[in-house]
Amino acid sequence: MKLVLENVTKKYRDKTAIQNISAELHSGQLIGLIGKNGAGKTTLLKLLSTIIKPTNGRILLDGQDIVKNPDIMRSTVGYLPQEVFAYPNLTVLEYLFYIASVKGMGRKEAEKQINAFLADFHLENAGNKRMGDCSGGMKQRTGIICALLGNPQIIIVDEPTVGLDPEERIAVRNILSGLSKERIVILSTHIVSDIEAVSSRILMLQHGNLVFDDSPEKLILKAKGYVWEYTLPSLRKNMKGISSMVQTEAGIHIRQVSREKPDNEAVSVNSTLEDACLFVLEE
Amino acid sequence: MKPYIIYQIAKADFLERARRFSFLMISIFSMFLAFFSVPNTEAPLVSVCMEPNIFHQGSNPTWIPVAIALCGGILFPMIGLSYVKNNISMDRNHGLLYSMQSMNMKKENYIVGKFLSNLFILTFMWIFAMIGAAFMLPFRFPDQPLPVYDFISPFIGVYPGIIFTSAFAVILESISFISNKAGNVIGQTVLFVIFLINYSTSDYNNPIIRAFDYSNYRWIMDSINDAVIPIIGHAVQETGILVPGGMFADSKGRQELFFHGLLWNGRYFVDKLVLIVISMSLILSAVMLLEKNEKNTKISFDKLQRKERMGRKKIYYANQLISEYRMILKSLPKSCFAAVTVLWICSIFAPLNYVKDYLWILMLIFLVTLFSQMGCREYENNVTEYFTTINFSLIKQILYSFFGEP
Repeated sequence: MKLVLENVTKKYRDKTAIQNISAELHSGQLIGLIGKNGAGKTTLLKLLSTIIKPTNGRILLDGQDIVKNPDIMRSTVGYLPQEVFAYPNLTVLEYLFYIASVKGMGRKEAEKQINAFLADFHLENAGNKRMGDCSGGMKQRTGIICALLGNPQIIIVDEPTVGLDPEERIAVRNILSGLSKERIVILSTHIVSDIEAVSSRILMLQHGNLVFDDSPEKLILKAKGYVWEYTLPSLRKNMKGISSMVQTEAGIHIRQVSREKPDNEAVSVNSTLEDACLFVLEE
Repeated sequence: MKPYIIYQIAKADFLERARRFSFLMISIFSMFLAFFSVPNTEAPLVSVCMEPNIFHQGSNPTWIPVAIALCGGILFPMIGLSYVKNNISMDRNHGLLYSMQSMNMKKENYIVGKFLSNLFILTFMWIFAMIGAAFMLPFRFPDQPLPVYDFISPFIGVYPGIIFTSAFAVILESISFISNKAGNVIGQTVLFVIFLINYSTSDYNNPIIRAFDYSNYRWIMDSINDAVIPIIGHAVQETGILVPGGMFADSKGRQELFFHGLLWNGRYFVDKLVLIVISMSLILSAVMLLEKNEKNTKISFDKLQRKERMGRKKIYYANQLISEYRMILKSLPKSCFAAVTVLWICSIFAPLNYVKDYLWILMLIFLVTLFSQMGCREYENNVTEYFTTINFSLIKQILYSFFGEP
């Protein structure tokens, strides 16, 4: 399966949310989508899941234009929006059966998949709990199950690990990683460690433009030699590119991404994906 | 269309609303409608009054279903429309509608499912009204049994109107730009105007007017006259529906009047079938009108920041009363403001009778539907969680909202 974006642009009245994005996504990839707030990540995911239409450009799924024929994409995509809304008075099971039926699944098939997913996401005992009484993490996991129901070949998830505890976060990203063997999985998140753990490719957006499209290793290389660590007695004004700041007895231990050596005492250290993301976005 | 999908959509929507506390309350209110509708000329507000100087009002059980159907036929669709008209807009506002569209959901399944859910909700409420009436019978008239047809037929006569209301709610919601408060105001006004036309027209042979008689007013009145004419030789002339009790306090009528349910009439039956066909065409139109994609609603970040700065500045200088006032005004559609202003200007220049009978009622409907939040804004947005941590803020908020509204 191949998903191609050709010069895709999306404008909202006087704001350009996405500008001339081109990319080619294949099955077997878990693609991490990174960018600051307002960079256009959610808009891009909505374009791919046919919720909105691009102002210009084409999106092709196996050569077929999904802007003109959204049903082609809609029959094969599983989408998790940024904010999961579920009817608060329905139970988890009722809600999942509802979504399964909307996806056109029969009762038996729905039952089989729902039971399996409830076990995978540790929600076996929550089936009869009303959505309004569920915790944020439970709602989020229910939302992820909704996206995965019906065995979609393209999975688009917007911030899936928000509100999950560390154990659940790992479980979710491992499931997504497993699914990406035969599918296209697009994972948008602010949590760089999630992407670091499972992504084979990273798309980075800034102000609606695609500023990076390659492997995580290549991204880390970009910041090589530009990551520094040093200690200061107190913070200076207008410091940029700080990736961590720890208060110690000796002062403030700072990790900073910068093209220039920020302090005489600064020592160059190995870059991480988080440093690299900061480096590219600060550039 | 797939019946299983329609069933699941209708079931989910129905359960979501039927499990709310408000549904329980409105169902109890429907039962109360039965209690309220039993004619009593000494009550402060009389539900139904017919030739009070001839007939003893509400003297036997046959009055109960007829009075409830007459009052309920007028009030129930309007109250019901307000109650059911929010299911599609809720999905739209929370993005669920678009998420489901990305699942290849067919619009026809969705709209029909929502319509059926509306219909189930209103049917349950109407059944509650019937149960209330059934309770009233032994309570008011312990030794006077009522034939099943006489009891049930007036209620069934209103049912096509309930189908119409359910379909009307769906079409109002399928148009995104009027799906919220503006749609409520438009819906209430349209229902009220249709009723007024039916109530006051002398050209009742007009097939369009007949077909749109959702309140079943004419059929019930004909059935009433069928019982009245053999006794007094002419149709009912002195009547009152939902009038102040004092108007008929001195009436001396002692003649017994028995109704016989809805008088069978093929012409009215066809009218009701036409109303159902109109309802189906409204559903079809709703399917066509429902958007396929999310509309462009975002504005530029700069503009947002500018707006935010302005808002922040004003709130900074103002107090909570002014903040509440501004928030209430901001949430109201401009079109409704314009409509209320036009009605206000008309009411200054129009004849007093006309103003009292029509314009003030229309203004009341507009203002009530505008200012009613139809679900507490603070609860919906979790603002109460912040407010509870601040001393007296909830009480102040309620007071300021109240004073801000006028």
